Amino acid sequence: MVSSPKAKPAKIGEIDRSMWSWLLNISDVMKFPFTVLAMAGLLVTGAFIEIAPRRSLEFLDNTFGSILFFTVPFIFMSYFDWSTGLLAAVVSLIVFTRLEKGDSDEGFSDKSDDDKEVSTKVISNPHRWFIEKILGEEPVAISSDRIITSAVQNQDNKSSSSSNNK
Amino acid sequence: MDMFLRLTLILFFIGWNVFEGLSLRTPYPGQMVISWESPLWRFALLFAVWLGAEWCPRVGLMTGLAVVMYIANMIQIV
Repeated sequence: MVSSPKAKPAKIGEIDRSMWSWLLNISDVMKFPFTVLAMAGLLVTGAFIEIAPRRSLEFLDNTFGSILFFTVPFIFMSYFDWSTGLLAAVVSLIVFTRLEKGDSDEGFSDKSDDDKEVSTKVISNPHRWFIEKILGEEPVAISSDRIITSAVQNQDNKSSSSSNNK
Repeated sequence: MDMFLRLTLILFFIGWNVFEGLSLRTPYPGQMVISWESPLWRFALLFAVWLGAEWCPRVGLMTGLAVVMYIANMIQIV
């Protein structure tokens, strides 16, 4: 094919070399990789936030954190798409729930005097106890499966000795 | 068919959220409580939220609500 001599070469517009256009270009090109990275980050955060120590999340337990819980899903929705924004909102709520629950070793703990820790145990055995069948209960977890007792201390020795001194 | 599936899932999740998620008297099925220990299960739940939202916004919203209620409950009791 021989092009006719009258055909004019297509005009190429001037390339915009400004910083803004460069940023826009990068944003367009990297949108898909960023979406994949954001998705992976959100999934990992939501799946493993439960085992994160609360101390590492304390920077979110203030006004700044509360603002982040609302703005991050909004940013994700604006930049990526609706579904990623929804996932970010779900993960924000999960992180917020995790913040509301303290670690077992802070505040009031379930530890007794002899350091035997009482922890919640999930029931994996499908067979129920007789009393559970009678009462129609279907427990899924046990908050404490042992009772720790200690011998009765005789408090009278001190008082009697103190009274003898008088 | 697609519309029927969406409607079924939306109604299912509405029922689930009302009678299972919000009701404190109804415990989650034992298998779901045991599965909570598995990171793969938690990963799959979150992925289901995204997948549901990609398919239909209403399904995604209902799935998200159900997952949030389930995970919040599990974090509190375990």
